[in-house]
Amino acid sequence: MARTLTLLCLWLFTAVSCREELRNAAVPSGNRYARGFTIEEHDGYTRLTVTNPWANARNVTMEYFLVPAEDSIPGHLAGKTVLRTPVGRIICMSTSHIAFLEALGETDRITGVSGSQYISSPKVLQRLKEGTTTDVGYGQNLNYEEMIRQRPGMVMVYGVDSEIAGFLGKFRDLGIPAVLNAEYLEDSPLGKAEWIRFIAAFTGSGALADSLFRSTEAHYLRLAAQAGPIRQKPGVLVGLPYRDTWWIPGGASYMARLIGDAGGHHVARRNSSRESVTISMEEAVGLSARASVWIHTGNATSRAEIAAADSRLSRLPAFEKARIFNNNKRTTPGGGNDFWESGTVRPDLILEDLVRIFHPGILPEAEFHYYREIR
Amino acid sequence: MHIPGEKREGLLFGLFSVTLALLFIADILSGSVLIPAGEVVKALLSPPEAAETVRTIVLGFRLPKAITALVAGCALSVAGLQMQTIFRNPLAGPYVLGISTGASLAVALFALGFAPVMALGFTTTGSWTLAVVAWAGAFAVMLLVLFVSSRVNDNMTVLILGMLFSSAAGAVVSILQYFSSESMLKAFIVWTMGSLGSITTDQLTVVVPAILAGLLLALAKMKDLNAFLLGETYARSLGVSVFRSRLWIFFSASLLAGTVTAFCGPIGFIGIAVPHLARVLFRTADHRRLLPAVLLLGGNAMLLSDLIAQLPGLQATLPINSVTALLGIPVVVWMIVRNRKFATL
Amino acid sequence: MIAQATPYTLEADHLSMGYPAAGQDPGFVRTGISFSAGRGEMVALIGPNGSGKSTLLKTLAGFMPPLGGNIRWLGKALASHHPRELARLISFVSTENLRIPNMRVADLVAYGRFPYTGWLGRLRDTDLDMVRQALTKTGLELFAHREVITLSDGERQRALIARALAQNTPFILLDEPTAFLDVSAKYEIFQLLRQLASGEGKTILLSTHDLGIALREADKFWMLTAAGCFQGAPEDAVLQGWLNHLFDNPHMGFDKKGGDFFFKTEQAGSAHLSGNGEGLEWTRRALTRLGYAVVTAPPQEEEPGPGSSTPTLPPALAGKSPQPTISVIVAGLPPDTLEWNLITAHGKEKFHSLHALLSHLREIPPHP
Repeated sequence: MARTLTLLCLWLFTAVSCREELRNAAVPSGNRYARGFTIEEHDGYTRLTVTNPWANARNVTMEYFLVPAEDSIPGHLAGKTVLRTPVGRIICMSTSHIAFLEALGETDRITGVSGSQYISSPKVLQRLKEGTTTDVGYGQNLNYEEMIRQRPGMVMVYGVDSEIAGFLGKFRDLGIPAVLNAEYLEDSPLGKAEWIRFIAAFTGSGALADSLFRSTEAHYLRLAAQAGPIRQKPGVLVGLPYRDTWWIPGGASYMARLIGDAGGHHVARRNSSRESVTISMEEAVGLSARASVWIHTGNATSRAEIAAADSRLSRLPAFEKARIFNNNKRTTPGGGNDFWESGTVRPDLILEDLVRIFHPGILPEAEFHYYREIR
Repeated sequence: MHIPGEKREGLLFGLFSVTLALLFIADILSGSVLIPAGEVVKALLSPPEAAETVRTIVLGFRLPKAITALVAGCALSVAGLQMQTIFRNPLAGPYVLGISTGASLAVALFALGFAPVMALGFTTTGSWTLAVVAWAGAFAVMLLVLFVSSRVNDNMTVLILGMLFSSAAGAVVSILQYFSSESMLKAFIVWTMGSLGSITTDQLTVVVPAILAGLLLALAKMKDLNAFLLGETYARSLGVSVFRSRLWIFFSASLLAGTVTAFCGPIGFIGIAVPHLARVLFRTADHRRLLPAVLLLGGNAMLLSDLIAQLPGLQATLPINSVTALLGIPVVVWMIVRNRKFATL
Repeated sequence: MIAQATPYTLEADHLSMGYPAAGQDPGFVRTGISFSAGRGEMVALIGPNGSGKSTLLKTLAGFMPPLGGNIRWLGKALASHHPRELARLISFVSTENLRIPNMRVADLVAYGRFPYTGWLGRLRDTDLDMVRQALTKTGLELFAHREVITLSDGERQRALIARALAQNTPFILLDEPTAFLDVSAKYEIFQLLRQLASGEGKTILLSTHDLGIALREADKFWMLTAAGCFQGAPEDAVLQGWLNHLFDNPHMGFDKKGGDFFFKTEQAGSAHLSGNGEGLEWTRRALTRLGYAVVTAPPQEEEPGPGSSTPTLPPALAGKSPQPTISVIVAGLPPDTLEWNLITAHGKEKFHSLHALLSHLREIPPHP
């Protein structure tokens, strides 16, 4: 019995410390912020890697070798995943992939999407209407036949957990080239945006990607430099509860970074989680007392709607006291939010909105990109 | 219309064999992409002549799916029949021993990211990992059940323990779900909806033999199943080694149900409804006839479900689990209402 | 194939049986059981409910493990018989009420051939023959294609026995085969079993509460009572008074003459009974029911004579009984000419039916 307990403890300890390992992974050389991919130029081919492409993956690296269409495939790449560039037709399983391609001006390649009701990109929506792009479904409803019919040059997929391995196997079986993207796992906003370079490798738009990213980065850093020195940081409450649980961004998460960079103070227990954490309603009451700004209130467009979602919320100090903003200015009828689509590519625009919210006045007057005020 | 016994049986067997073949063909002919029948035939019979996409769709997608549907339907129905007879309970099914919940629990532990499990250093090699994990879960439950059944001499107790374990595993899965993020949750739930189409061709080379093995074992134990119909006392008095026989039958059912769950997710109702349908149609309690009948009907049912799930002509597809439930429940209800000597088996 | 190592083909020797206590269940254990049975004997297992009859049958058949002692079938220990072997030796009929849809009587009876058929269970001609014979012996030839569920209790019981017959074993164990049957069915079953024992040399062991029939038809009694175990001929059980141990009830007694139990009622008096013919015994029973201690005596002469004096009660038979309070004389022959003459302290009366006599007697105040 004692032995089992000791083993169990050792196990748990290893598990916890492994988490640390993940967090401390260094940014690969060649990238400025993104941890999840690498691009290596070689003679006659380019080697791309994606590391740990789903939450809780450990020691998983996917390799993709890009060989220009007019060249022959080097012999030592036999048996590896080789894609010819520029890839022809592309199927995107996530809206952020669409955003990257749109920024690169490559929406004409997109023949397949997943979840068309969530897409904000006007170009792709137009293509859907015309029928040059079709919805291939998702998850269990993945329309393999349609995907085969399109004969895509690549399918950009993302895996939430290891069950993606099942889909990857099926894709391989069917001869469909699938590439795992993992931009959503980056906790740094610029790191996420930097994935444009990864995607550009497939379309042969490396130079364009670099230049777009540099300008995004420059804008972002400028804004951060403006907001950074301001000593008076408003307390920021994030999100809405569901039943009794309130998910708020972890201390080291994407949202928390944005808030910090915009000169806000995310009210939460200090933690270093890269993912969301839960707090109880009671804790939320305490936190909200310190908040003068409340953002990301679900689907609400008015205070009345917030109160309707959960009547207890109207009793929170923040309900009356705080200024409330929601990131649902650009939503689709089907429930999609451009915040997560083009916002992935342009974190500088999100940052601009946040700086306007936290420190009104330091930036010239302009419309919000993704946010709206909730009255 | 009352046709005398044997002739009727012969007719039924013939009829359902024909429908099986027809449904199999129909399943391969239909899908979300419209392919003319001639093209499909070409892809099947002389692959090099067919267009590449047609070839990939038919041979890489539709054919494996149809084969999976066929063997899964057979496997689940036979497992269900065995469970209903051994436990003398008309509501028993292939999952009554907790096989599918065991598989779900294993998948949940793995997929929903239970850290210590991750710490075991799971590396994902291809599409097998999830299936192996689910299979391991199903087998762990089977071992547990076999162990319990060897200690406990009473079928009712084994049944109750199986159901309790099922509930316990389900509770743990709920906890894991509660603490996981939205998208992980969705991925897990999608798994539970069942899928016949995600099997790869090399996975088939494992699934089909495993199910065949389970079916052969079931066939070998047909006579013993008949004895179990009379109850354990009579079975014993007829010379059946109840303890050993039960172990083999549980092993067979676990192999059948576990394999299907591991590779297709949990697919319900086929295992419960088809044996009853067979009993009503073939009017026999003799497993030497029921087993083949259940095999035929099970294959038919699953192929039909898959056909319906594809919503031929429409872009979307339905999850297979919903279709089997929607088909299976009315069948069971109709039988209960119509056949009031349904008191026991 | 019957070995003749000992005269007994079935022996239980200092057997302990039952199941140990577990949790709330107090368990049941019985020790020191020693019984035996021989070829061609029909043995009735008698005992109150809860005395372990079912447990004994199941233990003997090998369905439950014994807790101690020995069981020998044909001289060979039970444990050394393979289950397949045992199935060709012993067939069992249990109390379970089988309700299986879609099973025909012929199918049910065919189960009896289970230990003899291959893995597919195919019935050869010999097997079919046995099934047919079994159906004939139990009078179920016409029922062969009826569904088991449609049978009455008696018919189903017969079908189960037919199944045991088809198994063609030298031993047949039956657990309360007559429990839910009507009277005529009970007799039929006993008759059938009787025939199997004496005619075919099978050893039949059945537990039953139908004491009356068992007393007549069984060759041997095995009795399980609180006071201990007894085995012997039914008549031994009567004469040696074991039957009184069946009930712990002081108000019940066993009528050795009539061969069954009765309730002891309050003493109503002493009756002097005389007469001849069949009516005598039944009048005795009726008077006993009313509570009279009956003494049967030779017919008494009636004194003729003019102006007959009040008839008198006969004197007490020397040394045999107290002074009778009533005297009943039975005369005539059933069914039409029976008559009863009642002499009491109040006088003499004649009755033409036993019911009338008894009604009258009930109105007489009991003897102080």
